[in-house]
Amino acid sequence: MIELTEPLQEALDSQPDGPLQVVDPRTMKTYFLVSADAYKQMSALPDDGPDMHEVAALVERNMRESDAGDSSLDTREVFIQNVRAAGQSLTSPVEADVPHLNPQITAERWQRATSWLTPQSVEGFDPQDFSDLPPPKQQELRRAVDGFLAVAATVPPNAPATKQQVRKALSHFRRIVSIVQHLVLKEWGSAVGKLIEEAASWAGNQGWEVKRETKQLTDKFLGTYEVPELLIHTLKGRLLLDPVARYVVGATGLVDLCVLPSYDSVMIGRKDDRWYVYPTSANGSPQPWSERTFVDTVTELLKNA
Amino acid sequence: MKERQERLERMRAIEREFRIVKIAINRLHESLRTDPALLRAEQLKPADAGKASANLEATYLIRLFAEFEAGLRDAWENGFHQPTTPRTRELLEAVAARRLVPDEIRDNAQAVRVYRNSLVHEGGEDADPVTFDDARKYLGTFFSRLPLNW
Repeated sequence: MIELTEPLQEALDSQPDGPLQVVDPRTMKTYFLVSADAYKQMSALPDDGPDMHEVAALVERNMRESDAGDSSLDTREVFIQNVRAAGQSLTSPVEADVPHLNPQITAERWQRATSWLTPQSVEGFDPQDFSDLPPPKQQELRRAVDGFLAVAATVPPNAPATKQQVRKALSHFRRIVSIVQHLVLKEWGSAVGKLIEEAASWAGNQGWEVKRETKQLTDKFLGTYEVPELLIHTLKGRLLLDPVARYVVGATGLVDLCVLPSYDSVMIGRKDDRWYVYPTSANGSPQPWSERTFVDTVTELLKNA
Repeated sequence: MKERQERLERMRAIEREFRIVKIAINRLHESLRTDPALLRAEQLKPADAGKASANLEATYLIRLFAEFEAGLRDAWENGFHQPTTPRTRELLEAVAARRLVPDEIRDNAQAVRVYRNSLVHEGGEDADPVTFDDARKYLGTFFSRLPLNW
């Protein structure tokens, strides 16, 4: 058995709560030093469940990378996207008894599981962007963000957070998530509702019958919730204005306008709180949502059905 | 036939082929139980049938993904008129951004890609297994967000 060197002993003493990260200077490969007890405990755990950490890390990386190059996102949306990304990577606090841990990949997962505990998770927060919230909620959000940042600032970039840091940050972060979820659901529900009502009114101008229904959408961050949808009956066929998702790549919401029963559709995407009708072809520019574009799109869909 | 439909049909053809071969292998196993020497004439052993069975899903998942990727690249070049050859991960992201693909659909397709890579490249990325049925559903759903024609 190899004995610990003095510098390693000191490093371990200075970090009693988390595993010690060491680097092999020849290969630059990173290793985590864990106690025999922790290792035995982890080795005994099965690894047959879905690895949510892996998926979450991928999702988070993709979202952050795609958002970084998207100048259309305002600061409020950037903040919300960051919270959402971190919220998805957040499963349970990382401790030695977390299920799914496997000795081969333990170190990597340990690191990933606290990847949400970084200032990046609340990056883009500007209290002024939330002036539409009631003042007590504004204060609660600000306090939670400040509290979270204070804890995140104490986590070294090259080592996992301690249990105490995780616990403190988690309490702040859960408050942030709760406020943001509520805000997004309200905002998204209102945007979809407005779109549906406009379509219903414009359909009425054409003498088309409409029927309002509701559908359920499920999102990893927002959970399951209801939104309105609109069935449009014309003399030439039926269509459905069908909300698809709040979170889409490159926009802040997506509704399909489908012709039934083929479900050939046109995308109606939301950017900067405005709706645009996207062309059916791979190229062409999105057209702003208006009575004219709505009627033209319905006509075109029915013609090609 | 419309391009998107044609590509989806090719993916469905792979799925049908997978189901046929799965049935055939199950029948073979039944036959081997009554006649263990069945494969001897072909200089094969029952263990070879076991391996074929174990690798079946992975083999067809790799084929399915290849068809999906070929379709995406066709759309990228001939539909979106892009002269570049991005890596598959970036291709998925770029198409998703152009077609407002919901995050979850994009993530599921990326998960299939990661798993496919782990099958093809030994010692590649850690990946959660994806069943053939889920892969077909995820890739088909992503592909359905492409334009009808290109």
